[in-house]
Amino acid sequence: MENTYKYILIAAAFMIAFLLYFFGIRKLSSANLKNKGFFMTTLLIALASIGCNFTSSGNNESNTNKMDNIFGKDDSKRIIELNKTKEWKEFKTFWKNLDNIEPTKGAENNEFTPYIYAENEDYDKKNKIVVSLREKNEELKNSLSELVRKNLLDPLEPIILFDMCKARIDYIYYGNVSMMTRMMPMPGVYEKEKTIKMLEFKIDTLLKLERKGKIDTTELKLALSNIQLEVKKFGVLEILGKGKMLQYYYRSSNLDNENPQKDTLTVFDKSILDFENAYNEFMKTYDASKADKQQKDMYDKYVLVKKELDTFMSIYPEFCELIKDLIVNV
Amino acid sequence: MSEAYFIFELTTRCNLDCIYCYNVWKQTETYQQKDLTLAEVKTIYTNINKDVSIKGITLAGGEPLLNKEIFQIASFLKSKGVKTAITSNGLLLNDENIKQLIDCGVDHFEVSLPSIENNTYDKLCCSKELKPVRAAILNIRKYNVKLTVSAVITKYNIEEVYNIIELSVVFGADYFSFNRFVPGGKGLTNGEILGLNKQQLMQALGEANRAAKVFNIPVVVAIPVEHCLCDTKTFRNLNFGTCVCGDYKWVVDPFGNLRTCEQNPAIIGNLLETEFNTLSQKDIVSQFRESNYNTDCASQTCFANCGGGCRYCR
Repeated sequence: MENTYKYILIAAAFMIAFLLYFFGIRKLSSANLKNKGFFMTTLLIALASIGCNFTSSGNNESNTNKMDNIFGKDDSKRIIELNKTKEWKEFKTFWKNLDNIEPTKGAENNEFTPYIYAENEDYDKKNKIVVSLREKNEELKNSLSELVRKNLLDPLEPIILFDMCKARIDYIYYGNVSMMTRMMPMPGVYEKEKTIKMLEFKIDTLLKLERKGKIDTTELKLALSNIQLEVKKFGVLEILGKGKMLQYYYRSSNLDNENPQKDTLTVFDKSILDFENAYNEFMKTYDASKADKQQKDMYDKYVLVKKELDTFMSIYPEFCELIKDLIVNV
Repeated sequence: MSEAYFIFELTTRCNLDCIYCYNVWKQTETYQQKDLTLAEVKTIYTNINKDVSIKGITLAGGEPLLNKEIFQIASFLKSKGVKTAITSNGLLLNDENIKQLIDCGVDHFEVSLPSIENNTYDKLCCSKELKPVRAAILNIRKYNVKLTVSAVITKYNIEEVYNIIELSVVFGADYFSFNRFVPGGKGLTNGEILGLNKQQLMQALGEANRAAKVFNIPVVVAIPVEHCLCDTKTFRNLNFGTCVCGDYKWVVDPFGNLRTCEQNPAIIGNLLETEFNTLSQKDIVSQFRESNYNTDCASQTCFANCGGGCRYCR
């Protein structure tokens, strides 16, 4: 709509310039003709240029808006824009479907989970569903990258969304699986599982309480939109986990914590603190000219994790708006 | 310099009339109605800060939001670098007040939610206004501050323990504070109908323990439970501790009087006139500190954790 006005303005400018030029020739003497002609030509070019400038500044403005949206100056516009795209709508439907699936009975158990409910006769059926959901998730991740190209999503956002859905699918159907291995899970993995469990629990419980009439729709929406903490925890722990072996190189105080519930500093806060300390310590002593292959590898991982962590922390408020849209808005 | 944590009772006034209320002015007529003023807070702060390192101050009441100077008081404490929390019944914690309190430096909110059922809430708090309390919890959660939901557990709400914790979790609480009913204040006259016997206490702790495990939320048993009253080791997911009143934690009432704990009406002296060090060394304090255990206690292995339990109850 804005562009239409601009084009009308340009056309009007040309028209006025032409009329002034035309009447100028007829009314003015030949002595003045050259001067006025020069003036009119200049006016014509100037007006046309103004029109061009409007158009081009409009484009810039629109780009700026999109960038602003990503970095939080007006995120509501971004959500509106996203909801116009088929990619986001499709992803939202997928997310909503996951909301409506309750975790398999027993999945809430914190202790060892029986091997993927192998004794359950539905195992094959469930496994097929999981495979198809994982495939769909993969497909949606690719389609969301289109929204990155359109500048509606930060490149990190589809990755975290994909990881969240993947973790949700696994938890819903398989429960907590990290403790099933004979290998000690990497620090943060168990906590990440608990985060997804809490996310699912909150969504399911809130829907259940609403059905029972224990909370009203306003409370439901507000409570659902308040799950930022889980989103933040998941995002950070997922990124910290990307260092893979990296976390074995620094001792996380998570391991010292016999019962995390007894500590006022959360495992999540500790995880960040531990990483930051380890990162600073490593960077203090790292010398690229003397580093061997292993040290270089660690350096790369530290840099990657640090970069993603910083990015996530900076886009986190806007990322939460995405999650709110996924959970609250139909 | 030793460390101490303080409860500032900003006002004797309250917009609820809970039948379990422990506020000391509800049991004695010697207390008149009064609000603690900003000027008084400044004097009290100076008299305390000379002698101890203040670890934190909780603004309480009555209902602290009824004190018109609450924002200025919080701002003053912020300017002194004091970690400040507020404990409220939630009725006046609308979005604007919450935001203003956070701007003034309050970073921990404790909201009382003794029931999620309108009828029970009405019975306990004599109010039908449960909705704004729940809204307050949800509104606080919008901000990056610590949120504790607390409940005084009585005979009236014992069956609700699990459900209250469940709702607190889904509404975004970081902690849940389990306060067993202790007869103090108005609660003194309602002890019979509200107090839990040993079996009921075990039942309530059991439900809280189950909720803490399922919901992975830290549940703090804020009123100490003596080991000889019930085996606290049974409840592995709950946080038990000992009484720190009159030692690490102190209460300042709206008149500037120093007391050892919220429930204990005994006044040690006035902080507007006397320095903290002088008051905290009075005999009345040492007597209170030693009041909760006998010679047998000290020889028990559980004493390290129990410490004799609630000094006021004993």
